[in-house]
Amino acid sequence: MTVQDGGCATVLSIRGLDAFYGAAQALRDFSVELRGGEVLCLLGRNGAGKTTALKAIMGTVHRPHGRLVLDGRDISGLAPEAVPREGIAHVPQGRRLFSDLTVAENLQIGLNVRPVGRRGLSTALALFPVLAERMSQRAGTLSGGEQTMLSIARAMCLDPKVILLDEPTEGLMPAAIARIREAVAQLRAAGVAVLLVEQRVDAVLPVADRVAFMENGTIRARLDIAEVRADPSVLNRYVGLGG
Amino acid sequence: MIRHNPRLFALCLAVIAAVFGAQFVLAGYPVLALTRILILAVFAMGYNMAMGYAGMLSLGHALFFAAGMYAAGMASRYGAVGLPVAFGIGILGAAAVSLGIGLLALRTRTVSFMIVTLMFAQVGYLLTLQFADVTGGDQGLTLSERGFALGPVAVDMTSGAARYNVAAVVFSVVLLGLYALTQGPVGRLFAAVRENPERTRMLGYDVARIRLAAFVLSGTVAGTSGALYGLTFGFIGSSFAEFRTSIEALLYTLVGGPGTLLGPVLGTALMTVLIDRLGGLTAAYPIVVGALLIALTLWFPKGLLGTIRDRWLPWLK
Repeated sequence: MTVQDGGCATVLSIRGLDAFYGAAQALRDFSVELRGGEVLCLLGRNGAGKTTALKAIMGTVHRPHGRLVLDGRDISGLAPEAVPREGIAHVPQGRRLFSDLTVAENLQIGLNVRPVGRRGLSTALALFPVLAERMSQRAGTLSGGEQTMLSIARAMCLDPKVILLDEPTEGLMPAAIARIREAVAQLRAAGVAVLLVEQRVDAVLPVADRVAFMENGTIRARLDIAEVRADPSVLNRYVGLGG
Repeated sequence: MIRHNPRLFALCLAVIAAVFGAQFVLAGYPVLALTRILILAVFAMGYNMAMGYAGMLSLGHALFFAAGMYAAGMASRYGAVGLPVAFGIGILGAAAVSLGIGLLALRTRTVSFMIVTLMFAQVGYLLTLQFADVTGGDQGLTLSERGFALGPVAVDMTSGAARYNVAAVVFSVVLLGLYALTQGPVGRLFAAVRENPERTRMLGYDVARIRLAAFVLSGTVAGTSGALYGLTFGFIGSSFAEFRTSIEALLYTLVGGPGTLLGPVLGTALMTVLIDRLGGLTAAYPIVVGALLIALTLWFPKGLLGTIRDRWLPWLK
């Protein structure tokens, strides 16, 4: 099953990406096309290569082969620190905030990278009003859900064309999960392409447009979300999970 | 500049006012001791830029202190330039040395970085001994140029009051300059690199450049202190390039609070006075100082101001 092309233009095209940890190959021939305003969800068990795929896109793991084209520009050879400046933001697993800095300072660091970021900050604060109330609080003292919100808000400050979210709902309460889901929906509505890594299918189904299943470092299957919603049992074939 | 952290800015101004006011209530040896404290506080503030703010624990800052001191002192002695020009040469010399060392040493991290910086500093120290006919080696060199003209005013550096005010002016300029740097975007970036370099990189920053900038800034301020020390007291010598000098900067910073602007100032004042007083009472003063440091580590694990910042005054950074 393959996904039919929609009306939006492709923002990020990834072809034949391989990645290695030392001699061990963790990603094989990873290829996806991301269009503006769509959410592609990567599903798979632990160790399937989902997080590695995001790291390979950012260039933080060794990736000898593969081509990445962002908005028609080849970014395959860019240094990792140059990738965010092109408009790809990464929200890593475990949030990775600057815990000794305040909420405001964490956001400021995101803002300084791309001059257009203030628009992203306004959107982020409208979406996560709790952050506006805690601007002078140290990031390390926020709750888990608030830390995830701050991590996403900081990425939004880059005003990205593409955002990579690595298990943003991990370990969160249902109310916080709903907030994160809302944020993803808002990003999509704003035309941002979202590559979402998740293990929990129920957290993804309401927001995803397409689903790709990973196993042993490669994509085994791609499904349109309409097919999954129509027959959630199809997921059992790939990850042994139901919707 | 004030809006970044108005309470800390007010505290800095209060410290500067106290420094300039102290000369009206103190006389004799305390003024001389305070002059030395002000100069060494500049050294510790410089060290804090690398160690406290950017998280690079160097064991080689004696090299930058000595680079500033020797560049300024030798320019004054052999170059026959005035003290202000020699001071400028000292600052530039320290900047050049810290840039060169930074480019090499910053290829390493953590323990390796400590060892590499220590090795470079030892090389610097040995060079000052090796070329003793020029540097004066262990015996040092006295500087004959002891005054300069500031417009119509002649400043005589053999006068305790002149030395104190020159040191106070440099201390104030460095304190306010570092306030502006650390409380704005630059300080945030240093802290980000210290806390999570990989994440900082993933937000689009060149971490290697930020580290180098912090290191060069740190070395340059340390060298400013060295240049000021040599020109103020009219003496330069190899003893200032010893490992002990690096450890003193580390000690002052750790006691006062790494990553706080005023911590190194407080640490320098406390440790200098403590060692001075105890040294007059007993030759075994290092044992007492050691015991106090252990107690400090137990009750103030992030230094005095660092712990106060974490517990009560978050603006004290």
